[in-house]
Amino acid sequence: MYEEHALADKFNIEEWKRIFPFLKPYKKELAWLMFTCVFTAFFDAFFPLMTKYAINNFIQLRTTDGLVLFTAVFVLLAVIQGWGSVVYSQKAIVIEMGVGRDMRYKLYRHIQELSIEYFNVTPVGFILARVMNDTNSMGGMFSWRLAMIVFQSSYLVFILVNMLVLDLKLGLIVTLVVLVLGVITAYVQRRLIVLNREARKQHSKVTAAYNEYITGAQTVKSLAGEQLIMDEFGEINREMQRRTMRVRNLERTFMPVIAALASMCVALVISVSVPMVENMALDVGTLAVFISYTFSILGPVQELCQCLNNTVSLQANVERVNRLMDATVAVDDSEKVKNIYGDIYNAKPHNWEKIKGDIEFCDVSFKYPDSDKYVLENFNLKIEAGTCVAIVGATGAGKSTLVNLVCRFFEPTKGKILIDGVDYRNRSLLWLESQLSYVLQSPHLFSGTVLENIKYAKPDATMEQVVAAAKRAQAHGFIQKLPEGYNTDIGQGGDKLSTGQKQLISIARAILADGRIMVMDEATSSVDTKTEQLINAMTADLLKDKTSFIIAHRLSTVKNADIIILVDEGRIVEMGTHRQLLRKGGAYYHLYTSQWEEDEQDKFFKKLQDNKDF
Amino acid sequence: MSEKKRSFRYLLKQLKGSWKFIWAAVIFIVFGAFFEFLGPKLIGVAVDSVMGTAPFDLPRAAIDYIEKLGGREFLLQHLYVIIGVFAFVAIMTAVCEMGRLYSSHNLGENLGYNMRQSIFDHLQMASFGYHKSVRTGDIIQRCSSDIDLVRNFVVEFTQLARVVAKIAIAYWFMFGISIKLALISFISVPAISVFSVAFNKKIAKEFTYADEAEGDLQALAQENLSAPRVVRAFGRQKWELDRFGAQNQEFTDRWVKVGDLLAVFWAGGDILTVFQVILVLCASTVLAVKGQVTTGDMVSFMAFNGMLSWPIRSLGRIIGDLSKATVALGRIAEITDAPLEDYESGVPFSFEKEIVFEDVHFAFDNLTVFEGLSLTIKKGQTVAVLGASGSGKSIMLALLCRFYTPQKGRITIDGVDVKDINLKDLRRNISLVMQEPFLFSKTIKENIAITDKDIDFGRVQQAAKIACIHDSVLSFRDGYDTIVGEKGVTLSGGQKQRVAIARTIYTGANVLMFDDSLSAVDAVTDKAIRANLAAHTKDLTCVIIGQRVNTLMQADTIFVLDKGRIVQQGSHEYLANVDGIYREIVKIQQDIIEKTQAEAGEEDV
Repeated sequence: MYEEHALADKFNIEEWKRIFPFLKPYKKELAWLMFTCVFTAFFDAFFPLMTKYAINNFIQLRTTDGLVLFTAVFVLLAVIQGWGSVVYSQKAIVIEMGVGRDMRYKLYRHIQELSIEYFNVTPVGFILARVMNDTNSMGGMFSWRLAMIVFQSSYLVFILVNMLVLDLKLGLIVTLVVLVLGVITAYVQRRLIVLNREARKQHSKVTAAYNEYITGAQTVKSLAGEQLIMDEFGEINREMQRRTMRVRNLERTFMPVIAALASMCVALVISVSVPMVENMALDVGTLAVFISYTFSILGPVQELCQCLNNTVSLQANVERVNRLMDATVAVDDSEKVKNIYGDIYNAKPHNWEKIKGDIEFCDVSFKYPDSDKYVLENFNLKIEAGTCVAIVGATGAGKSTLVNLVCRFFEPTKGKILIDGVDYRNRSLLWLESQLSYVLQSPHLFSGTVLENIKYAKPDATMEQVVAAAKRAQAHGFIQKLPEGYNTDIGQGGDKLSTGQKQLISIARAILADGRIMVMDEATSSVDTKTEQLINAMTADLLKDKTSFIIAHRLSTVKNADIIILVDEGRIVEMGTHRQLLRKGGAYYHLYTSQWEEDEQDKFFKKLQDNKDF
Repeated sequence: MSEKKRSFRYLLKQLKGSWKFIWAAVIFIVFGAFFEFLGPKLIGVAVDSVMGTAPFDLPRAAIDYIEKLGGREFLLQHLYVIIGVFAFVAIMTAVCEMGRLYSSHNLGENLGYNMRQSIFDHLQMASFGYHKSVRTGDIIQRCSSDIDLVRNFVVEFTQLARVVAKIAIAYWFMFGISIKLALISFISVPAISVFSVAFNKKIAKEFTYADEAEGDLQALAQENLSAPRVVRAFGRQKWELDRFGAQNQEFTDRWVKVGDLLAVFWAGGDILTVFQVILVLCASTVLAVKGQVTTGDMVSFMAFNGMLSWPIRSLGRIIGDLSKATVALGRIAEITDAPLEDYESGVPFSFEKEIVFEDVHFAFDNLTVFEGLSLTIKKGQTVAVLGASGSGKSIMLALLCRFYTPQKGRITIDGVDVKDINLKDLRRNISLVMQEPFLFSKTIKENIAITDKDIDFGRVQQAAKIACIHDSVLSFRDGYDTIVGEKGVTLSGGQKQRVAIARTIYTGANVLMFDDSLSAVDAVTDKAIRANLAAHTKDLTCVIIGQRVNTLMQADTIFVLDKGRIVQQGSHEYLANVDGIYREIVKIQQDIIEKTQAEAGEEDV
């Protein structure tokens, strides 16, 4: 599993302090919550005294005089307590959800500012867990759990004080037992956390094994290696059972011991109190209160220890959230630039220069932040406005690097990149982003309608502009056939459309953006053949007059590019025009001929089949 | 109905070996409840008959025994007897509780283990076609969260038994003390349970809305986080933030609404519980004053009451969980419907002469692939299959390893239908190297020897040398102990293919099938691997599938596949000189080389 950094096991107040500002807006609710906690705890501790009153004043005196009033008072108290617990729960949920919401929003805001670099090295699931789960648990911590701690501890204090007041000797005995209980519980709970963590680790191993061997099942079959794999899983599975049982064993031996201690405490109370009742030193009502208290003291002690320990284990979540907040924005504008151009939330487009589209790499050296290996060294390339640059190579060869640099998803490690003759770091990120038209390999669309998705590039576009863009992207035809045309909801991530349709919409989106710099990042690699042909046919039109970058796997689509760059294992192998590279007779030549052969051969077979069909 | 039956049957099967824990749990539950409630009962007796002077309200035998000891006076003189009795009851309660937990934990963990293993094994032995047809993510979810859900529920179910036992035994005691009081207190059981069930139902709808809002928020965040490039390329961070803010608010509002409802219901439950206390307290007071019950009885009753409020209130929740667990169980049991492969029966694999495809017909999802495919592969030969992409070349190999079965016609090895050959034996001897091989997140050594428990490192190295991957492996920092995949080194496509080839060599198969699996290996290495294979494996039979004539031309026999049958066969020299598809393709290839040279020769504009 991905782990950003080692987490501390110790409670560290500094980490928690950073969460406190999120509580500020809920001061009033927190005060109410604390109040109702203490209030309801007081009532819970008070009710047994009513029993005492009933025994001493009705039963012992053999009279029912005043029982009606007594009942009325009791009911009234119950209703008041009921009101208290309604307020308690309502305040708790408001704080829980409010704190969670505010933290989520702040985290999300920070995440939007982070650079691509962060997303390259951090799994989406990890970030998502911070945004969704950790914020939820923080909310829960400062509402329900905090309330629980206050409630249980005040309940405990009320009971103990009551007992000490009612009878010092009996009270002291019970207090002593509570202390012993507390120490044992605290120890066991801590141990449980450790054991639980081990069990969870094994659990994720089991899940990983499922993942791996279901994905690889076909391979296992082709080697007839099932038995070995099943045995291997058996061991992981057995270990999981063992570790879980270890947790359960501890829980088990611990719980009854506590229960027995509490019961023996009752026995002790009785045996001490019997002679006292006999000597009239203690009334029966008080004895009943003691018994009732002793029975109910066990719950709060356990609950309290569990709460406190869980709080300590929340430390990890707090740290993870803090680390995400600390994640630096690797590619950021300087203060000076921000003052003129604005930041991503408050842009000042009136100060933005028009862009022409000249791009120049000046002595650029570059390595990815998570690697020591330079993939570019002292690279120089002048790309005049309107030039088409093609970057080709096998999957995973590192074709995206140049584009990453041009789009300023990453910045050069050394050297600089000039746009229209000016280092692009002297202008804002959003300025550059406003000039990009980007088509990705896998078309990412968002939930919403077709219209919203195309307008993503330009929120203030008119319907005419949207339709014009869709027409140029050859998407207008199928969009009109959708149940509600442009207003059709395309589902989560656009799942209601085929990949080909999604890609055409994403091209329409890029057309609408109308940036001076156009990037086609393997735009055809995930689509069906028909869409691929459509896209290939429109590419020339799309790139007209723009400074463009095509990243491609198939060479036939890029041979007309002004500059072709062949990349392998992250490095630039060959660079030149199509003819120059062919004449060279190197890697590009081989790649080109072999791809062509495959194409022609397929075409030939196809023709053969068509001929036979008719 | 049959679905429920299947789920139930599956569960019964998984409970094998756990029945002793179930019975033990039941016994411990009943005795535990008895001892648990014996405590308050004895307290009542102590209050009345030791502190007070009422006669002992105990079974005859116990009273006789106490009288024999010396009655109340004796107990007052020897308090340790009372302490002893209470300690005994407390310890017995604890022992029963431990026994119950021991049984139900063992039950749960055994069941969890059995379910995990049975599903894993079933998936391993399920057919190739099944794996092609299912969505991995869905299956994995069933294997982890659904199994946990069912396991937890079965443990929870013992809780239900416990609640029922507790209520039953508590009322047995209570009715024994005072029928009137017991009846009064019993009124609350249906009242609280009905309230609890109704609450669970009512809240369920709001929960669903809130859950959906949470799902939407999660989906929205996930969409954004998976497409940081799009967001940045179009400079839409602010818009994204606003969108998130709105959904975040919706999510918050939904849960606050649920919380408000919960608050009322919880408070309602609390008040009901307190009302019951008031009811019992007042009733017992009246009865005590009238002399119908004693003070001790009242003390016992109040204790019983307190001990019962939790079990009764949890009834509603347990019933709610039942439906969730049923759904999960159904999803797990469904996996067991997948047909299994038989690795046990069949005659041993033997290949001395030839492999023959006889008039094989095969259709895949209504799409005809083969219509009378016939060909013969002689032992020791290298044969190649040439055909358009999508012409079924890969399926031909899959049929030979019996990943699929032909609908008509048969495939024989030395005259024996592959259907009759032991499947495990067949796959160990006929090995397929796929175009995009899957490597496991293990060391390279373990990957090569994936079929072997006791890894023979010498053979691993030899296999790696034959597959021309040995030197690359040594260049890694950890050599053969380098871990492959996400947690370790990322191998290039060609390296992966070569490790996969080494893996099949290690199995000792003497029929190797390459499904375009040298496509990412450069020409020189490709040649070297084949030379090594020929030199090291006696009587090696090779089937090669490829796109390009270059990679196929050295084969002894080349089959040209078109429209589901073989249209040409022979050596390169033969086929290149007769009319037909093969010659056309060779011509295309030559044309391209010429054309390319012509293109290169043109002057730059």
